[in-house]
Amino acid sequence: MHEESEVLVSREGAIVTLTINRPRAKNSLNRAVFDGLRAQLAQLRHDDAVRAVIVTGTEGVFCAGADITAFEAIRAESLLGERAAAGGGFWSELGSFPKPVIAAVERLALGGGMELALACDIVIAGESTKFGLPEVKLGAIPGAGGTQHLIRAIGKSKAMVMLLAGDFIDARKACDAGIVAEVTADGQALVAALAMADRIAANSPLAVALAKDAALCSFETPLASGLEHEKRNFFVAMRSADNHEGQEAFLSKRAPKFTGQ
Amino acid sequence: MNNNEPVIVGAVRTPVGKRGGCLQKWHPVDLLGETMRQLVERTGIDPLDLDDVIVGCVLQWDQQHGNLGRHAVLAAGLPESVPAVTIDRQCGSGQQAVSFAAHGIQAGAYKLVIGAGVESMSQAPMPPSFKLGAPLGAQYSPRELARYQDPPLLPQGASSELMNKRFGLTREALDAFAVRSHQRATEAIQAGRFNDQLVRLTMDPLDPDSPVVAADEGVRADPNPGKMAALKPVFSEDGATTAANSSQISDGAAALLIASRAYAEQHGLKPRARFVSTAVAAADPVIQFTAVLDATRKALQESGLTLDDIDLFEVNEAFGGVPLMFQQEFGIPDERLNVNGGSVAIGHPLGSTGARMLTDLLCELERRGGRYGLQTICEASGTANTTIIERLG
Repeated sequence: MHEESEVLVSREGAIVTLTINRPRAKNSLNRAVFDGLRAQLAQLRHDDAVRAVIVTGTEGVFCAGADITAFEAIRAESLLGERAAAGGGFWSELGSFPKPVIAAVERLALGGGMELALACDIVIAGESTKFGLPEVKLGAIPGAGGTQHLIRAIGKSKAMVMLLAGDFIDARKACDAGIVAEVTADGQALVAALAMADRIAANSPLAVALAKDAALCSFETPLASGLEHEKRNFFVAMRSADNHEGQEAFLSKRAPKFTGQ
Repeated sequence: MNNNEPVIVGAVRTPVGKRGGCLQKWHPVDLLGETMRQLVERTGIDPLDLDDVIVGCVLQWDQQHGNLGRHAVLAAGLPESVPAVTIDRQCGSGQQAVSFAAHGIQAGAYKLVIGAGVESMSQAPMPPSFKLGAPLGAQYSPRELARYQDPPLLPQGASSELMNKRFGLTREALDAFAVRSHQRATEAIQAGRFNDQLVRLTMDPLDPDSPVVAADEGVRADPNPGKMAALKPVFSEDGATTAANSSQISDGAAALLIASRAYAEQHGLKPRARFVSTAVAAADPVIQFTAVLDATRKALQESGLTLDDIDLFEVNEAFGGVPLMFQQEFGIPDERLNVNGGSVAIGHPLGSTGARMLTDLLCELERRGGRYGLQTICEASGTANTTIIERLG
C-alpha cells in the first residue's frame, strides 16, 4: 500500500477494499482516482480468489464528486474517444465488473460520488450521509450515469427532484427510496460492508456472478428476454460443481466449500 | 467422559457503544433480552429447557435493579418458566455469571444455562465514586473504614496510581499500551474478526429501520499519540493514569450458552469449549488490582497447565496498568496478550465485560485453532476472577 497513492488497496481473505485517498479534496474524483480504480478492477476481474470488492473513501468521507479543478481538463477533451478526464473507461469497467461491488459511504456522496455509489451493486451508508446530484446548480448535468441509474433506482418523480432542483437526501431517505440497502451508525458503514461482503463471499462465487449478471440484465431487456437470460444462467448454475457441493453440504448439515467451478 | 461436564455451546455479544452513543436508547433489560433472544435463535435450543439465566450487572439501581435478569427473560420473549438471577462481582460480574453457570452444571443442578452480563452506563445513573474527589460510597461501613485507616481505602482511579508506582509502570508505557489497544481493535474490526459473534442491533430499539450498530463505537482507527501524551493525569499531578489509557464508559451486553456434555450431545449442540479452571481470589483492597495475579496462579495450579500452554491471554484493561502489570509479572509475550485490543479501545460496560471478553476469547481461539485461553479481570475492593478454557472440536 502506498500512502501517497490516490487509491489505496487492502485485502482481507476474499475481499478487497479500494479506498479513494484524496482526503484534502474530500475524495473528489480526478484522473488519477479514475485510473487507479480502473486498473484495480481490471486486475481483480481475473483474480479468482477475490469474491467481493468494497469501494470507500478515506477519513470518513465517501466522495464529494468530480474535482472542480478538473473541469477545464474535461472541457478540453475531444468529444470523440474515451474522455478519460471524466472517468472514461472506468465507468464501463465498473458497469461490466462481474463480481459484487459494495459502496461503503460516509458523510458525502455528491455528484460523481453519488454516481459512483449508484453504479455499485449495494450501497451501505452512515446515517448522516448526504446524497445528491447538484450538477444543475453549476450549469452542468450528471455525466456518469446519474440520470439513468437514479431514475431506475427510485422512479421518475423522486429522481427528478434530485436532478432538477439539486436537492440532497439523507441516508434514511435514500434507504427508503431504494438507493441504500442498509443504514449504519456514523463511521460504521465500512464495517457493515465488510460483514456483508463476508456473507457474500461465503456463497458460491459462480452462483453469485450468475445472479448478478441475470439481475443487471433486467435493466437492459424486455421481461421475456430477461426471463430467458435468467433461465440459462440457472441451468449453468445447476450443473456446476458448486451446486452439487451446496446440496451435499445442506443435507449433511455442514458448511459448503465452494470453488467457483 | 463426565456427562456433567459444562461446555460452551454458544456465545454472542453486542457491539459496545460509547456512553451517550449508539446504544444509549436501549434499556439495559431490552439490550440483554435482545442479546439472549438472538443467542437462543442462533443455537436453535428449545428455551423451555433453560434451567436458569445468570446475569452479571454492577450498577444495580434504577433501570438495572430488581433482578434485571428476570426482566430480561420476559423482555426477550422467553418462556415464563425460565428463571433468572442477577449477581454482582463488580467488573468481573459477567465472567462470574458464566462460572456460576458452569458450576451449576458440574454439580448436576443444571443441564442448560445462560451466563450473561449487561450494563447501560448511558441509562443507569453513575456511582458517586466516578466523580473526581468524591468520597467513597455508602457501601463502605464504619468498621471497614476503621480497619483501613493507614493507608486508607481509595476509589479505583486513585488505586491505579498505587499500582503504577509499585510496578514501575510509566506514563509512556501506559500511553503506548493504549495506542496498541486501539490499533489492535481497529485491525480486528477491519478484518471482520468480531462479526461472527455480534448480535444485530439498530440504534433505536423501537425502530427496526433505524441505523444498524455494526461495530464497537469507541475504537479509534487513528489514535493520536501526541494528543494522548498531552492529557493531564486524572488522579494525581505526578500520576500516569489518564482518560486515554483507562477503559471507556460504555453500554453493552454479552451472553454465553452453557450445557452439560450429555445435553449437548443429545440435542446436537456442538461443544465449542470446556472449562479447565475457574478461580477467584482476593488481595489488598487498597491497591485493588493485584488479585488478578493470585487468581491466575490459582487457576494455573488447579489446571496443571503452565503459562507456556496458554495460547491467548485476555486481561481486562480497566486501567492500562493492569495488563502491563500482568505481563510484567508473568513474562507474557506481547503477541499472546489482548490480541484484539481490550476495554481501553472497545469500552467497558462493567457487568458485560467478563462475558464479552470470554466470547471474544473463544472466537479468537477458534479462528486461530488455538487450544487454551486464559481470561482475568480485576474487581473493585481487591477481588479477581481467572478462567481457563480449552477449545474443543
